[in-house]
Amino acid sequence: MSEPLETLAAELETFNEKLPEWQDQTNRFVLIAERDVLGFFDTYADAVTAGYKARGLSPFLVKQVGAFGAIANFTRDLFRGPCLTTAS
Amino acid sequence: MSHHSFIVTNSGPLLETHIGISLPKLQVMSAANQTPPVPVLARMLVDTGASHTSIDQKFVAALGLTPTGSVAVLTPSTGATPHMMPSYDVAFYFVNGHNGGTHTISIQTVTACDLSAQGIDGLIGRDILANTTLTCVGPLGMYHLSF
Repeated sequence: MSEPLETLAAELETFNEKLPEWQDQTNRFVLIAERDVLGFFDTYADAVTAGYKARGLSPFLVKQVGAFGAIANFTRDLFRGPCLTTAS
Repeated sequence: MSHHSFIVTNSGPLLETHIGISLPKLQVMSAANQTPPVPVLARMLVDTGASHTSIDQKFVAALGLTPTGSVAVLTPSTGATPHMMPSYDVAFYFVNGHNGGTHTISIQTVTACDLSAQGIDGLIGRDILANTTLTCVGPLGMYHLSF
């Protein structure tokens, strides 16, 4: 897990544990703080707004439930790695 | 509507915008008598090949962003195995439209990555473009973006 995501480790674990129970919430946005599921929302903006209202500046997780759109695709490479070409 | 027209540069269709913390976070900080960070100027690439909007990781520190989500990311180097990345909530301020208009997106989810070697500060992805009209006028080397 990348370092920034470690602050949301409990929330992500709760998400992965509960996900199979949420088939009726597909495409909605779940709001989780620590181990508590605070609610489901129709839009990302609504979920984030509710997160700040409930938690202030304390950590919370907003994540879309089992949606196709949950995977981000980039044709441009975002990660730095070793160069795959050989200098001529 | 806010209309923006720019030249397509060698780096592609670039758009200058200001990035700040999201409106609900701004309200929480104000209520707590904390000074919110000033929005920062960013040179973004309009990228129809990006499903999501992404910003350079330098803005995470500059704006004091903390992750409020995670997203599975596929790029040419990940193959079929997605790379899990944190996501952040920010606001975008698109200024200097033709009619002097400013378009604000008060809550937008973004990922953050190192784009420093590419000469850009971020990618405007299809999640934002889905709410715009984007026209490329190739022979004139220009593009128009309307919110």
